[in-house]
Amino acid sequence: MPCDWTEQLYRRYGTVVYRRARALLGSDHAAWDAVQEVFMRAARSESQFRHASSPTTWLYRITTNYCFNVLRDNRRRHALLADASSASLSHSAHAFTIAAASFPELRVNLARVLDQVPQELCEIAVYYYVDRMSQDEIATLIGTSRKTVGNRLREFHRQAAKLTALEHSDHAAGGLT
Amino acid sequence: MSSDEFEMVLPTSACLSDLALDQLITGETAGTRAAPQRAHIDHCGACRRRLKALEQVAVELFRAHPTLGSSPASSEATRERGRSVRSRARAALAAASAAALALALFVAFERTEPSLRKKGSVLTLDVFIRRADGRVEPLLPKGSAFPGDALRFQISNGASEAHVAVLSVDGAGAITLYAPNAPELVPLAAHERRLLEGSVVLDDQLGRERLLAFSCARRVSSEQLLGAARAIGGAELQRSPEPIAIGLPCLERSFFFYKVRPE
Repeated sequence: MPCDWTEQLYRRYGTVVYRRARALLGSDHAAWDAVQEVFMRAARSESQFRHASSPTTWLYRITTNYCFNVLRDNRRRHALLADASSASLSHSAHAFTIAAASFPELRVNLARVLDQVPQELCEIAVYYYVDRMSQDEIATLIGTSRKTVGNRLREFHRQAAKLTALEHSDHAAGGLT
Repeated sequence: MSSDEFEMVLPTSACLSDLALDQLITGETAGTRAAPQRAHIDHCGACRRRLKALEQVAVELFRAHPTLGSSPASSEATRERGRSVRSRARAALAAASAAALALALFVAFERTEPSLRKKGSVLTLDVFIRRADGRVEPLLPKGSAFPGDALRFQISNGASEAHVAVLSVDGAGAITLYAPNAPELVPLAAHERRLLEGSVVLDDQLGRERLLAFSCARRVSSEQLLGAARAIGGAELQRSPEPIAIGLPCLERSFFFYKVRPE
């Protein structure tokens, strides 16, 4: 590992990665794991990283994708444990909600959504709602057109709203979420 | 740390995103490119508050973990970033002096055996708890458990085959092998994740309990591992920061939880 370079990178951008991971994963412990993993990846991809026009955007994407993987893994682990113990799982302790003031019915568990909504839609929703990025910024970040970003956001709304409606009907029926 | 730092506010067309603010804070956007953004911040209360909130996260993290991030910044400091050669020199000096500590984060979960130091190999320990009412949930670091709760452990290892176990050091310093309940540690294939057999019901000893997951490069008997841990002593294991040198070719991972009485 190129120590000096990684160390400088870590000191300059560590808080950015930590804060975003903390917001997405919901715990300090998980956020520190994310910091460790993201900077390891940065060290492994040093050349690619050095050529990135903006290290911050590069780290945003790596952090987001890492957190998505963790959230997905956590859900799988919970399912595994449920099988192993024949017990029902309560709500995930890592539950994280995406809340949008203009879309109050959209209050969904990100980990759950990730299982059912394509990652490229979730990624855009996180940039838009959590990071407050404009559609132009998102388009630049992920290398697509603004129109595509808008379309994907709409599609995310549609699919997430469908899930939320399903959750409501489960609750009404007394089912577990 | 308050949860306000993670508040989510809908973006408007004029306001700066967290990404743009982060680029200002880190000095990535500087000089003339930053001028319009700074002008906006000067006139926008929402963006000023958000910038302060982001900076506050950095300040608090820096206080808690001096090796992380640059020294505490203010909005003014952010504004001046990139202009002051002197302050950069100071930061570089601070960075250099903290280099060894900063790197500790990257190896915090990896012991010093060269054969086990593989990039990307991370030993993980997940703890699941079954409460008295039957609920099963993850036990998080610094979480609480009650006497009578049952724990199960899931371990995943890195790129090598390994032999794994979970030790506990309770509030009184007693060392117990929680898993496996067998003479030999559990063999895991490379990149395998396994929910270990059996559960452990917590006794009445209250206080801070440390769980240690070990992933050993060669076969190690349960007795050997226990003996090595007991040679160090429960009090030292409770107190010592990671990593702990137990004299065996093992990676380790630990976390604390608190055993308390139900209210």
